Amino acid sequence: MGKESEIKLLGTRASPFVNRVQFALYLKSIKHEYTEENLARKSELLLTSNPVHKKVPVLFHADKPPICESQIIVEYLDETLPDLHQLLPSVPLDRANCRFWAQFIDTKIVFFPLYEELRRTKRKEGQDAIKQQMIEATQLLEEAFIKSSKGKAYFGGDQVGYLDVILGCFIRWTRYVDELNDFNTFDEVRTPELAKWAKNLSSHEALKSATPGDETLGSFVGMLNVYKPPYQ
Amino acid sequence: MYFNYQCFNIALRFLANVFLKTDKLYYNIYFAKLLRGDSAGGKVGARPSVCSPSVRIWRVLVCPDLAHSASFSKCTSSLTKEKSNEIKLLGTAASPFVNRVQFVLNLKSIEYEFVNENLACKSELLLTSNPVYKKVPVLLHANNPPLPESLIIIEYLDEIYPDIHPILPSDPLALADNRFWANYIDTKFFPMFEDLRRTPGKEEKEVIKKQMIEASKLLEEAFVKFSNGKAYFSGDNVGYLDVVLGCYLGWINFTEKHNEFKIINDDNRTPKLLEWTNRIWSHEAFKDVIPGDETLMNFYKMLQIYKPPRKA
Repeated sequence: MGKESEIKLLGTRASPFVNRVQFALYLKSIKHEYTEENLARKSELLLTSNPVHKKVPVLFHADKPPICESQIIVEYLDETLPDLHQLLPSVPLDRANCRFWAQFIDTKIVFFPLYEELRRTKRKEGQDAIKQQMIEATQLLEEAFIKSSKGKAYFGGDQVGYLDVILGCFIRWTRYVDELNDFNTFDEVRTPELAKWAKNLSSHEALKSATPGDETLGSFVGMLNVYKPPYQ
Repeated sequence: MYFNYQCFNIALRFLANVFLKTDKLYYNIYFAKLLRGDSAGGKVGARPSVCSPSVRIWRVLVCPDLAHSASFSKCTSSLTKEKSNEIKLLGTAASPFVNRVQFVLNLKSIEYEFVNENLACKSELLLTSNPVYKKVPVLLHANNPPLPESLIIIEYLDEIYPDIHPILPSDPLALADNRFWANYIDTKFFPMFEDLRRTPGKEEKEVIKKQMIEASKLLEEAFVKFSNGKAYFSGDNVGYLDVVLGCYLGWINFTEKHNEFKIINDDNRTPKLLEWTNRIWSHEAFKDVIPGDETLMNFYKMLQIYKPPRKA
């Protein structure tokens, strides 16, 4: 995987799902070419390489068919290059546990779908209900972290692992959303271990390289407010 | 007290190895958890409550048949039915997600015990073994923590029994492709069925039916690509996507019949998928598992009560 053009990633800098793949690529020291996609005006390349969902990220590996869906891409990278910073554990039960929490993190129950709801819901009761859902979800994640990390720094133990990648890509977004909504997703009192974990992981070189800046996030939210405005 | 149980357990295992040539006593199931400091120990499966340890030892060592006695807690039947109780599947016959796991267990010839769950009145076992979602299926494998989510269970079974009828391919790209379509089927295709049921109004239902027809064209293309002229998604043998989509056949037929339209049983629009469905219906591992109209109708009626159609 030495040639830079062998792996291409189609994405948008502000998307945590794209950041997730970038995080995995940096952890595994995989050189890659990155192409920024304008989601307000999707390219022919995106529409033909992900005709089903028309979303980023999309990974191109040499001349193979494109791979879509961030979790599937991360697993693909881990299976193709297992010796370079293995992300998923090797024990089947531990792998199943990782997949279970990865699914929890990405489905309707938590984070990005909830943050979108928070952005679009202007009424206080609606906002409070979503914050309550996030509180419950993060409490479950706190328990999952304690069990998975076994007293170490990351979900993966001493080393950054799969769940650190799956959840870690949202840390920057949580800080952005928290500021706007007078909230604290990884609260030091409610979820002390996750608060420590988030602080720790944010300073990890690979995640820092994959994390967008304030301006990028601001522009992205601006675009979302136009194309998917708040509910009336 | 804990130290006594620990010594007790060690002595018991020694005796078991000497007299019964087995290590698999029910004590291991409970005390293994305790010794590991597993917080789940004691939650899944009640601990024996009535008999004193010495009486239980006597029964276990000398009269194993008495393990069936009512004074034992509900999980001690694992003592005598080791093989079939090593895997328990918590589920309900009408759930396609449960059926999916059953197909895989059948394909891999794995014996298991099916524990029927009434979703209108969920058991303590279900609520404690899947506290996050409280849904079926849940796989209980020996004394491992319970495993929910059908796709995760299937990957787990394929990893622990890789040599018996492998379900997933080994090539990373093919794996990615299979997982992509499984994700599509579960997050885009099947939710349309529930949407159709809950949407009031004929016009609104027509919109959803159109979306389902569009989805069926995508699935037909996917089938043609994956099967490459062979009988199943995975080629000559049943594999991952055959199981992932095949479990919905009962509900697909039910929905087609009650909404008077064809989804994947259309010989013009989805000819290859139609041929595939016939193979699945008659396949050994599937045919007795896919629920019939009566089971589905009972489940449908329950859904209409507990999750009624939205108001117009």
